[in-house]
Amino acid sequence: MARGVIGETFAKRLVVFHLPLLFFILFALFPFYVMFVTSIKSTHETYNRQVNPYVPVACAATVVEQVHSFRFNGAAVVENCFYHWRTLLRDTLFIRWLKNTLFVAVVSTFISLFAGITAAYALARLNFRGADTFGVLIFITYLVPPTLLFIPLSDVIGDLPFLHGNLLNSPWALIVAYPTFQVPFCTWLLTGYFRTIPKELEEAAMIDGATRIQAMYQVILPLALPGVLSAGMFAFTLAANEFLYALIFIYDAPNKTVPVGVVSELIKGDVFYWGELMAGALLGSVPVALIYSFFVEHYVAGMTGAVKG
Amino acid sequence: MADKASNKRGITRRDFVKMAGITAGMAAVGTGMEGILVSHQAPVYAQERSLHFLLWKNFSPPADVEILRQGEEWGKLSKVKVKIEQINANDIPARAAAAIESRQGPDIIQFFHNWQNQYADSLVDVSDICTALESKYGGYIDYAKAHAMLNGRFNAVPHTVVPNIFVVRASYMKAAGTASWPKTWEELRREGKKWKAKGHPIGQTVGHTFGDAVDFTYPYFWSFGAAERDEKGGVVIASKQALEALKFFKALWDDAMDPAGTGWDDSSNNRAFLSGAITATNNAPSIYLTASNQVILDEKGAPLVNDILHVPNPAGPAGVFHYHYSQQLSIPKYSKNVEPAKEFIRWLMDEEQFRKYLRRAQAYHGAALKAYLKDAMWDMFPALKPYRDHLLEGRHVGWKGSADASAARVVQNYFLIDMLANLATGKMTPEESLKWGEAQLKSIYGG
Amino acid sequence: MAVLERPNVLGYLLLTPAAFIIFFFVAYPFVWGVWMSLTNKQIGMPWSQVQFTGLKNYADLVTKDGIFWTTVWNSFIYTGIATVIKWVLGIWLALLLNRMIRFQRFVRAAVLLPWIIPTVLSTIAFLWIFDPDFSVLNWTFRHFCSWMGWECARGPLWLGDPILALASVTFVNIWRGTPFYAISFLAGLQTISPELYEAAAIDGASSWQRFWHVTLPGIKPITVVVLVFSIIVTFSDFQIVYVLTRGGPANSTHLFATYAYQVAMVGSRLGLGAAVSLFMFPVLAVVIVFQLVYLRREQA
Repeated sequence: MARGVIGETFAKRLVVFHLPLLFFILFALFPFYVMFVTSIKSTHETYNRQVNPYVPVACAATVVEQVHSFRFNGAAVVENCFYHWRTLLRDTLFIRWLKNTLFVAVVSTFISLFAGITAAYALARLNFRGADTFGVLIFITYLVPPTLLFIPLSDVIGDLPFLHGNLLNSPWALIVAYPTFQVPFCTWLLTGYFRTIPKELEEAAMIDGATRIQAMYQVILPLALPGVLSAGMFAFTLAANEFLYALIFIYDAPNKTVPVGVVSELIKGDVFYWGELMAGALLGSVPVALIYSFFVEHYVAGMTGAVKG
Repeated sequence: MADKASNKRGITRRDFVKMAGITAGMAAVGTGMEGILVSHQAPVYAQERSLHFLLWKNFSPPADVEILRQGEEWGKLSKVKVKIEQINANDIPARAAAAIESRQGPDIIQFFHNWQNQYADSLVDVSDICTALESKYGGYIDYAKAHAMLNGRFNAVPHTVVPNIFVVRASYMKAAGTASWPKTWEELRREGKKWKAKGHPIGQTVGHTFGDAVDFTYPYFWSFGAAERDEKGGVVIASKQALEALKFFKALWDDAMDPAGTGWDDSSNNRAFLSGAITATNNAPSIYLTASNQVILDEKGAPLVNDILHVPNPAGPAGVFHYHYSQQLSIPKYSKNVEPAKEFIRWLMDEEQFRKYLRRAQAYHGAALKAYLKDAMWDMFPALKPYRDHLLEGRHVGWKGSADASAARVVQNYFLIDMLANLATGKMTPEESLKWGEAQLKSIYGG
Repeated sequence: MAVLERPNVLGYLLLTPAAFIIFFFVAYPFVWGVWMSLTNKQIGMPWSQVQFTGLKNYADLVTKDGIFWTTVWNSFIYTGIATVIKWVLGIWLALLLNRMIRFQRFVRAAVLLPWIIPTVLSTIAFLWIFDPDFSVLNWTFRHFCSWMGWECARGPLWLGDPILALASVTFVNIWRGTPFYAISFLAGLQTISPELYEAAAIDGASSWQRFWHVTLPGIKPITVVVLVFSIIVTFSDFQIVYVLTRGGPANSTHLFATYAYQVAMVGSRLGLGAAVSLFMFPVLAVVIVFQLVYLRREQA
């Protein structure tokens, strides 16, 4: 932040800063704009090749008319603007899918973080026999493609006893499956992270009488929190976005996650319910977006602080 | 789970998994996940019987309403809970593959084309149901039977047939000065050139998608006298006729067809047709039904349905050929509910239910059983009658050989379709594409 | 409790949860996959008929298969181009975000959105954006043309042309992946001590020299982590191609994962499909070895 900002002319700022940033924002948000507009257009407008695709005509007309006449008519707005949103929320199991997604993503992330933290600490700090081998093994695990895994994995998961049958068709199937790609990532990220924390800190704690586990728990973990947070966030994102396992392992509509639910319930044969699909896409990213908007600053700032400290 | 084939490896795998279960139980305690993964075999409670039926999201939505209703009705009659799961047709093969390979999943799976022949060994013999139906309803249409039967044994019960002929915008044709639907591919190319010049070409997918791409490609080759294999099963694609078909396709594509077709899926041509982008496309009745059910209007504000014609495929040097993909129901051997599943299928195929299903689908499907060719349904949807009239003209995939597992693999790997796509995208010359295609077919069929 | 102080005991204990997951849910299926690739196994084939065929599947792919080499080529192009562009854009965006003061929260959240939204769903939006007849892009293109008074066709066939189709799927990957690079680099940038920049400024270094000699080395550790992660994920990418093209037109967009899926899941040749998947392995192993070597050197 200290770089070359002082003394920059406005024109230069515009060219090296504002315009590129604007470009990036447009680049990132353009598809979201298309999604939003499509979600508030009537199907008829969506399929009309002549009208301007950027403007939701019927919806805009309703809003303009109401603003103009100072008469708010909520029903008309819903009918002309949020028809697809209403369908999505009222006629599909979207809220259920959202809950399932959050449940699966949160639980699998916590499991993965637990496994990742312990493994990473062992690999980063404890010089024991086989540590290196295991470290390499974790890297290699990362290379195993899900397209290869899902048949044998469905075999394993199908044989795990659970309640009255097996895990298939339950969100727990995904909670078991997702750590396969989350754990390697968490371990990998955290191993690097733990190494950046000076050994002296926990050695000091241990000289003061703490056991190693206490030192890890009370000294290292708080310092590693930004790393844990970022590992957790990415693990969460990976889980919330996953498609293939969710498609194969879950049969019942009420048990599906957002990506699979939206795709399999809103593409009916050859009819794409574009409005509902887009509304679902936007709404489906809200929970993750909230988590990010809350944690990103912590993540960025925290990482800086930890490395300096 | 009791079939012998799986037992051999089941031992090691099962022990392995049990071990995983026990360790998981320990881990569960350690991580505070008590009771998540039960470490011993859960007691088998007397549970309600249930039947899990996997099928596609129908291109004719009312058909889904009816099949769900029928599932519920039979469930009440037989005290079995019927769970109907519907997914996109393009996702069925993966779901089926995972189910067959891990030996758990749906009790009934709907397959298209002859997909299920790939897993014939893992499917229950349903010949008893089929022969009974055959004798009662005048036999199956040839290709539907060829798709459901392998080595003299039905591994699936033929259900419906989705017919595919050309759907045409009459006014576009007329506006370009074409008096009537072209009788031959040559004529189609000549007339289509005019349509394309007017901005409404012929639209057809040669992309990687389950339905339309196959429906167009296979009969196209056949009409030129080309076939994948001969009666004995040898690969004979490298023929003068096939080369002729490819050369002509290149010309047809460039002159008369919408270049966008290389990137289309099964739904794209419906959209293009309904929005007035194309004059003609080979399709099932879904375009007509959407235009009719949603009362789509044309440019002049008149109902679009009035402007739609249904016409047969043009003739090639070897005559007129069609391909109508069949849909059939299989019961995997892993199912613990083989008898209820059979019972349910029998009930579904009973005239009373099946007729309702066909009609609720608004004549979107034909039946695999010949008796329904004379069904009064066709008079209820007169505009769709041409679909019935050409229903018998289809062939099976793999023709002139058998529709075996290899033929299904050729379909599933889009080899014939890619032979056309190679030309449409300009990636290869007809000669190169033929050579490419022959090598691919031989990799499947052997030889 | 003293026994827990011994690295050999505590180490293994702490590794147990991760080892358990990896052993049962990755290693076993993986070994299974390797075994499959050495047999003629097909979906539903009884085990009594499964034969060990050695490296036949691999040899067939390399010598006979008409799609395999296209797939290899596509995967390298896809990964190479996407990675380089994501890297450049990511650093650029990180530098911009780093000097952001006003609306910081909003802008950071906005540029992160592509990474957050479920891939399948954003890709479906792109399916619509790339539609030949209804494409927003082509509408804009046509209207821009007629506004300029040019004669214009309908616009590019984003998913219909072999080269454009590969470019389009690559674009979606870049769109989705850039925020991940940017936010990681941003974290990296903030670890660089401002004194280094001040010292460089005192030495009279130009802003380009400062970027080259201070910024890039400063974010090197995070760069290695991000690149390795990204290359692995991009190389084995599945969803974008699966939704947009399924490998078409004429196999121009097949990647390892989608082709393996087509061969094994759709076409039921499990052994061959496993072999396709496993061809990824040596390539990605090179990436991992590169990273391990780098880490060792840093530690030394």
